[in-house]
Amino acid sequence: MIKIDFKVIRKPLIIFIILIILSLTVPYLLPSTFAGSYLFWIILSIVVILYGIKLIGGLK
Amino acid sequence: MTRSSIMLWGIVFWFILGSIISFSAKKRTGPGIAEYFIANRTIGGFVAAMTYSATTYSAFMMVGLVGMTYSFGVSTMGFELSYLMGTILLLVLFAPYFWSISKKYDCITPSELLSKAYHSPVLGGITTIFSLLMLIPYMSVQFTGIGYLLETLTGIPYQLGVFFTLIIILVFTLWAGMRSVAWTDTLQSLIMFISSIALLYYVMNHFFGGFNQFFQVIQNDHSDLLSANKMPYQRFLGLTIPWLFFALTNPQVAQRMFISRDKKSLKVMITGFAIFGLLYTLIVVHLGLAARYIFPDIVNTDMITPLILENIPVILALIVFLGIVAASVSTVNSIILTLSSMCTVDVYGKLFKVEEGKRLLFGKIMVPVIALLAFLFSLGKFGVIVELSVMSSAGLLALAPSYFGIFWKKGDNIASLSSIVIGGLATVVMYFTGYFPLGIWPGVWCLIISTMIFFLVSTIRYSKKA
Repeated sequence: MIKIDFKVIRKPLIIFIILIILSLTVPYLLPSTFAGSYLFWIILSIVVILYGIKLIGGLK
Repeated sequence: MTRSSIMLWGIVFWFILGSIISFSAKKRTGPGIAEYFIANRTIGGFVAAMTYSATTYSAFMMVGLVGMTYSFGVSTMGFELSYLMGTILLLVLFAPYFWSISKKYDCITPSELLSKAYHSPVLGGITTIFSLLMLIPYMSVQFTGIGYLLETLTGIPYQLGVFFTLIIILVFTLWAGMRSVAWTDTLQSLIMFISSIALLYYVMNHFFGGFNQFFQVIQNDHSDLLSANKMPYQRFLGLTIPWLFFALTNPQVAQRMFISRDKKSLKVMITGFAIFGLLYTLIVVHLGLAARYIFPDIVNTDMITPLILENIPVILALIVFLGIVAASVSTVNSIILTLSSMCTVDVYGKLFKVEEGKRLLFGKIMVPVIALLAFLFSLGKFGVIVELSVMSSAGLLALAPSYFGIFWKKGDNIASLSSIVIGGLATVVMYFTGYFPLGIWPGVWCLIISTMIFFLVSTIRYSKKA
């Protein structure tokens, strides 16, 4: 069977899961303004994209 | 020239342009199954990013998501951006490994990768049949979407519009397989992107007098749209969680992890898709927010985009209309090609040990067969098609644990098979009975059930082996 060692993805997986949990929870606590959930979701998406680009940039 | 005839000529021009691109792709296409279904892993980064984006984003964005934002405000943006984050996660973590494995073990389809990962040809066959059952209703919704839009904007009768769509899809797919689909998808994604930006620019300036005024109007008069709670939390989770796994569970996008020329192209694909996804989502969401001010009392939110099209200059309406048609066509042709590759490699190729030429011929025959099935399905009752489409998106989640299981030493083939079959069946039963235990949506249940079964069966079998 083809198996890939889980250790290679463990750390980024945990960070990504934390970021996604933030996306699914925090906005529901924020006020109804553009500076609230609207801005939070946009900034979080940019953070995830930048983190993703950093990770794949390090791939050989 | 009337508005509808301009729309019609626009479609004809777009079809001719797409056909020229498709024909050019044919001239570059070599022999063999790998060439036809995954372009022999020679797709460059930009084209890979564009075909990934066009395959992922269907007409749902410009029609469904605009309407959802109109009703539920920024929580819709939260759903769509969470989905984007999930997809980036899966691409960054899985794509480099899946690309390497598919190259090393010569895998053409995601189901072949699963069957080789678990040493089980049956698993590939079951995954193929399961994907066929789940994706045909999803494709039919795209057909019906174009059919209704053509009828509304050009006056072409629904059945005829759907039939034209079938012809367009066959031309873009049959000639040169993946190369043709990827090249035409690049055209489609550019049309989708440019048309949506042009529409947003026009809407902001014409109806609001600029972006600043738009933000002021929404903040002052429609601040309810800026609350995440506008969409009930249970619904938000029910929609979002299943979509987080889309990049793995939907074979048409999973197969795109195999097509890149090299790892550099793969990186460009992921980065390009991430940027496209973020911008396209923001554009569509802002159109939905703007629509709330422009048309304050709409009941049927699916009609918002057609209403916008009726109230903007004809050339802009034509470009946006083409963008919507392009989004549908690019999604459907990718699904058809992927499903036909799965039928060829994981079913026909496993059942009959025939030469490659005959398998390729079978694959080419499967393209119109699957397209025809989706076409016939789209002639059915619209409400039922939509229900089945929603169910199928949820049902595909049963595949997720098997993909994650490749990273787990205990994961095994019987666990994979049982999690797919039981998870999928449980979803179908919940949708048909309308019984959602604890009020949790079937997609979430599907994920919970299939993960538990995969975990339990793998653990038990691993301990027995030990």
